[in-house]
Formats: sequence, C-alpha cells, structure tokens
Amino acid sequence: MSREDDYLRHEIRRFLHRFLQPGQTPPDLREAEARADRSVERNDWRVRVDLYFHGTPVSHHVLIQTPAWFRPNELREFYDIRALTRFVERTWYQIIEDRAVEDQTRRYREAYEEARRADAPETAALYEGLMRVERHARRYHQYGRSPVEALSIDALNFDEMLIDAHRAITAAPPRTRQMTATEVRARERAMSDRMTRIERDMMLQMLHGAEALGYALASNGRSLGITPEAEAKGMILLKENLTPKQLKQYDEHKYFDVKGGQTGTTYRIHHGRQMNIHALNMFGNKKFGLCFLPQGNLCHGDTMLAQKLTLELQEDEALRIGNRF
Amino acid sequence: MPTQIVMDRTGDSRFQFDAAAPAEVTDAEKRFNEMIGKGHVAIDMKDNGTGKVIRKFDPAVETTVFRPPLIGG
Repeated sequence: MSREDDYLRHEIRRFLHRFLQPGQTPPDLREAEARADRSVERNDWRVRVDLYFHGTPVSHHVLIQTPAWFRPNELREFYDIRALTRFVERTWYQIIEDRAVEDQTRRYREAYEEARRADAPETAALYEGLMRVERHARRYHQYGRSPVEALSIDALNFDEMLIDAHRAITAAPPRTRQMTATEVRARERAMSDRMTRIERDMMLQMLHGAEALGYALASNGRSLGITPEAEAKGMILLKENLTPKQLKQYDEHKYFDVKGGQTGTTYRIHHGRQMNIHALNMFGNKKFGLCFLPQGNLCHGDTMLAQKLTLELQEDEALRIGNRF
Repeated sequence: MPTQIVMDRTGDSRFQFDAAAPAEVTDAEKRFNEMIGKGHVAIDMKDNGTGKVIRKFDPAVETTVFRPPLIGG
C-alpha cells in the first residue's frame, strides 16, 4: 500500500465519521461511487465520492482535495476505482456496527458502575460481561474508528475498575474498639466466603456471557432504525426457509443448528445479529464463536437467514470474513 | 409463480414474474444481474429449507433469495 492509498483511506474514514453523526439513525446507503478527476484550473487531482441513499432522491457528494505530493499513478490498492468504492461501502457499515457495539458497551459499563456503587450481588457478573464486550470491541471494532478517536481508545482502563471493586468489597469497617481474636477470625471468614461467592458467580456468568451479550445486542435493532414491521417480515422469511428440524429447534430454544457445507462442522445460530454463532464440538459444547453479518443493517430474521445460508453453502467465505471470539 | 426475494431494511422485497411472459422474464433477469453486480449472492431455495448458490439467471427457479455481501462483526 502506498502513501497515496493511505491518504485516501484516512480522508474517507474521516469524512464518513463526520457524516454519520453519533446517536442518529444512519441513512440507508444504496450505493457509493468514487472517482478521481484531474482539476484543470488547479492542476491537481481530486477524488469525488457520491453516496446514494434508499428512500430519498438526494445524494451526497464529497470532494477530497489531494495534496501537492499526491500522484495517482502511485496508487496501489485504490488504483482500481471500484476498490475505492468498495472501501467506502465497507467502511460505512463498519462504522455503523462499531457504533452499535460501542453503545452496548457504554450501557454495560453504566449498569456495572451502578451495581458497584450499590454493592449489588451482580457486580462481579456485570464486570465479567463488561470485560467480554470490551475485549470484543477492542479486537474487532476499531478499524472503523476515526483517526482522531483511535488515539484515545487506550485511555479506557478496566483493570482499575476491578481494583476499585475489590477495594470496595474488602474495605475494613471503621473500628470503634480493638476486635477480639474470635471477631477477627469471623470477619476474615466472612470476607473469604464473600470472595468465594463472587468468584463462583463470575465462573457461572462466564458460561452465559456470550448468550447474554447476544440478547443485549439483539435489542439494538431499534437504534439501527429497523421498524417492527421489518422485524416481523424478517422473521417470516427466516421461518419460511428453515428446515423443519431447525424450525422446531428455533421455536423451542431461540437457536438452531446448521451444518457447515465444507467442513461438516455444526454451528449454532442464536437469535441475534452479532456474536450469535458458535461452532460446536462432537459433544455439543462450544468450540469457538464466529461473528459475521450481512451488510445493510438488516433485521434479525434476515441476518440469521443470511448466516445460515452462508454457513451451509459458502462456509469458507464465512470463516474468511467472520471474526472469531 | 417464480419469486425473487431481496433481503433489505424493510425485511424483504418480493418480486414475482410470469415465466411465460418474455417482458417479465427480461425484467427479472435484469434485476438478477443488478443484484449480483452489487455483490449479492443468489440462492435457489427449496421448500424444505435447503438451497444452492446460482450464478446465472434461470427463469425456472421457483424461489431465489438474494443474500447481501458480508462483513465481519
């Protein structure tokens, strides 16, 4: 990749981050077009990106003014203008997905902070869930981040949160008199029991963390601008195209199993849009998680159907594109 | 009647055509090629929930589902 490629990549990401305002429902992108034009009067190159949306006749144009050192014949990745167009579309959806995950992480963090302040019994479980979501977000949802925001991502320090939580639990009560040896032993035993309970709860929650996260993310549909009617239509389409066995499984458990077309691996697709697929081993236990979804902010039914069809018919593509967790 | 189903933000959009009407078949083929051009994958779905990927338009296919391109989550 050349300096020119890097420049375009950086500028397009910066523009899309500005364009997709946080907290707003993103417009539904129909297609993007990018092309490079030579400006005669300025004797330099400009890159024009056109965005066309569904449901609105208005398209959006942006001109990227290239610097003096920019030489189009030095482009490697974006020499083919179609590659640039694909990059715009891919980045668009990545940013939307990144923001959805960020939103869920923020909600998880708020719930954890609230439970910690109230010294609620679910503090440890929420902390474990938060760590899991945060790890996933750091690992897979930073490439769409704007160049400026990316500088501050490491400012999040969850280890400090854990230390604070343990400090709050083990803080000694104010001493009004010297405790007897029996009282000291009783207090130590109580503290030990409490820590054991927290550790046990953390272990249990780790087992259920992925499912909980799947449901948490599943509720994100509304913030992506998916209407209840679309959700209902998507579920009908999904159920129309499940095998009888899969349909029975889904109705009973809210998940269904599919067989990988190439490797024969069994995958379990849970109700959800992200982090909802697990590969199973021969004993039916989770082997690894796989996260991929169709572009375009589709509803849950469509997303799960796309995941099923890809695993059954194009498993290699699912394994190539999907992120493991 | 053959049906083309496109997954989209509204849940799905369904387009039926009469395989005996040349104009409708032409429209359906145009739609097929347009969706493939956008990176969608066309799948010939059977009633029992199984399917196969198709690369070329075939008016005899009863139900074609178009799956959008994928991204890693």
